[in-house]
Order: sequence, then C-alpha cells, then structure tokens
Amino acid sequence: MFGYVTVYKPELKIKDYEAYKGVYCTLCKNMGKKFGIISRLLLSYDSTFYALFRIALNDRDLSLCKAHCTFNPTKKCLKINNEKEIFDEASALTIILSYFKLEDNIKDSKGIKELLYKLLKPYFLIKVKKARKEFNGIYGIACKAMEKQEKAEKENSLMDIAAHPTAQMLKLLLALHYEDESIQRFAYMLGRVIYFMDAYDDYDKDIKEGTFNPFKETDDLVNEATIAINTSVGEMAELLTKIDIYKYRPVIENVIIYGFSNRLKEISRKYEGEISEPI
Amino acid sequence: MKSVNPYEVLGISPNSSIQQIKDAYITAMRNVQNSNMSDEEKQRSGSQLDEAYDTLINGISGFGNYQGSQYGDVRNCLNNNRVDDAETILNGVPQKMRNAEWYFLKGCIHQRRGWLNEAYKNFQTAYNMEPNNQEYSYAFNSMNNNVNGGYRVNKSDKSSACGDDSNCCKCLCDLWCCDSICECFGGDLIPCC
Repeated sequence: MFGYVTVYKPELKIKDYEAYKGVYCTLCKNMGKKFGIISRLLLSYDSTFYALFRIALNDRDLSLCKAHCTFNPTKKCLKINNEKEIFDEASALTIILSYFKLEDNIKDSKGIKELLYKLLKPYFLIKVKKARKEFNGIYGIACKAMEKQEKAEKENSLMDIAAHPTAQMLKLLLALHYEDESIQRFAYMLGRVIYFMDAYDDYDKDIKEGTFNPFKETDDLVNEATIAINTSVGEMAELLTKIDIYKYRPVIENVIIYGFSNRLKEISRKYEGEISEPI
Repeated sequence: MKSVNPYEVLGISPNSSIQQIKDAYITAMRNVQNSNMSDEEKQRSGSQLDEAYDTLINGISGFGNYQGSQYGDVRNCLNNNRVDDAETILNGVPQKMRNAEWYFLKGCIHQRRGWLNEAYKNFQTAYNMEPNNQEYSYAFNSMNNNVNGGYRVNKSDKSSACGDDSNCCKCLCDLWCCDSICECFGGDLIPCC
C-alpha cells in the first residue's frame, strides 16, 4: 500500500522539488531519532506527503537549514527545524502502517516468505508499542480500519465499499486535526486513490494467488481501474481549489495532477503490454 | 420543522427565474429589516426567507427544478444534507418504476458519500436513459471528463483562461483609474466618460 503518492519530477520546478526533498529528509531524520536507524528504511512517499500536507495547511513560518544526510554524507539537503509534532506524528504513522502491512503480508503469504515476515514481527511490535505511547489515537484508527477492511473483503462487496475502510481511515486521521469538510473529503478521496492503485497494481498477483481484489469481477480491468482512480483524483483536484494551502501548493498540485496519472500509466503498462506515450 | 412552500414565502410564482427569486429575496429581506417587528421576530422571518431562498436556488443550480420533479422529497433531503433519508426514500421505489431521475439521484447520494464508482455508474445509466436531459448529462460528463484525465487539461486551461480574463479586467480597470485620476487634475484621458 506504499509508494503511490509521489511527485512527478518532470513537471516540478527545482525549487519545489528541493522543498519536497526537504520534508522527505527531515522525516527520515526524525524517524531515525525516534525509532532507531533501521526504521528509516520504512520511510515512504506516502507518509512524506502526509507530513507535507499537514505543514502546508498551517501558516506558520518554517525554520530551515542545510544538513548532511547520514546515508549520503556528501549531499546536503534542507532540514526543517520546527513542526516537530507533525514529523513525530508522520513517523509514528509510518511505523503503525508498516506494522499493519506486515500483518497483512503474513496472512497473505505462505512458506518461507511467511516465516521471514514472522521473524520481522518482534521488531515491529517493539516499535509500535513505542509509537502507541504517544499516538494511540492513530493506532486505534488504523486498527479499526484493518478490521473493517477484512470484513469488507470477506463479503466480496462493491468496489466502493471495499475502498471505504482505507478512505475512512485517512479521513479520520485528518479529522483529528481539521474540521474543514473539504480537507476531510480530500483525505477520503486520497484514501480511495491509494486503495485502488494498490489493488490495481496487485491485480495479477491476487488473481494468481486467489486473494481478494476489488477488480476481480471486472471484464475491462484497465478501464474500470481508470474510472475508479481518475474520478477520485478529479475530485481531489477540484477540492484543492477550496482548501487554504499556505505552503507547498505546487508540490501538492503536482502529486494530484501529474503524480497519480503517471503512476496509473505505469501500472496500466503492465496490463496493456504496450508502451504508452508519455504525458 | 414544518415544510412551507418556498415560493409562497418569497411571494413569487413557481416559474420565476433565478433573477426574480434573487430580487424577491432582497426586497423581502429589506422589508423585514425596515419593519417595526421585534428583533426576535426579525430574525425568525429572516431565517425563513433564507431557507426559502436556499431551497429554490440550490434546487435550480444544484438539484434541478424544485417543481416538476417526481422526487421532490428526495431532492429536498439532499439539499438539507439528509443523505440517509434520501436513500431510504429512493430504495422504496420498486425496480420497475425507476426512471432516469431515480438513477441520477442515486448517483448524487453516492457522490455525497464519496462512493464515486457507484455514482459514476448511476449517472451513466441516467444519461443513457435520457441523453437530452441537461442535469444528467452534466453530471455524467463532468465525471467522465475526469476519467479521461480532464483534471489535468482543466488545470492548465483554467489558469490560462483566468490569466487572460484578469488581464482584460485589469486593463479596463487601469484605464478607468487613469481617467479618474486625470479628471481629478482637471484633464480627461477618455473624453466620452
């Protein structure tokens, strides 16, 4: 379920890309500080976007500096010194979601793979425990969403219902901080996009292994997936005009308008078996 | 709350245009403010007018004609954000009697919930049943536009169109400003005004 909320670099200005990378690097550093160096490997673009979006929604000034990266010490990147709570929360979110992803993997896989995942579990249990100390609310929301997800998948229900738990989870996460309806609907749509992207990407694997996939019953996979994803993306693009965004607007617009469609094309290529023209 | 006919509240006929509704609303509001009612009464009549106005305007720009709709109660529920009630009413309609409007409204309900897949399918059905209905074709086409990546084109188009528009406005505004300033100093940049 990770790595679908990405920027599309060719359409991004360099200064915006650097600002984006700054959030990424700061989150990475924060994760290392809070959950140990190994946890930094879990860093995803999705939680980066979460942090970036949260920062973008407030009008506080950022205090920036340049800092060295541990993984690539020759390079310097921007580091954000304030907004610690947001980064702490994004770090906790990464850990918690990775943990649930792992649980999901254990359930879905067999043999050596399952064993491997099981070996990783104790590490996650320790980290999740730590994350829960501060952000039990997030854990509660994620936990509930996973339960509902399982139920929805067992019932083999409508696509919209299958996507609902993930979408609702994101909506509730944002609802912890914002009452604005546009923001919450934006989060809901984002959840839908992530869910459908993931399902679309995993379609071949799910069919082979016989696990649940919302697109299982469809005749025209590419078309159905495009409808499911693009209607939500379109709505997000529209909602963006209604939300007060104080920073990073070009980055957010890039993710919504170019990032998703680029990702969608990449996945579609897999199923169409042909190289489509670039955007 | 008892339901009142919004046309009666505003004192206009059911086939009034948007402009007429607006005018009637403004006049009625003014009358209320200038009358010698108590503050409480003023507030009550004011909110009544507000509600009537909202119902009519939303009915026209959002959910079609208030009058002449078979599902007026469903549209009312939607206008008042009572999505669950609207769905209960719709689900009570037997399969055989479901017309294009039924599918359109069902789509609206799904759209409110964010269940866009179902919304898309329902709008499509409504559109296929009555392709000439503006309401249905607008709902379906705007979603279909997104499916085809319209949000991308829209974005760039909009910004350029906006740019032209504001440039034109700005130019006129500047001219007018110059003229006014000139006139202040006794000259006249644009003699005709």
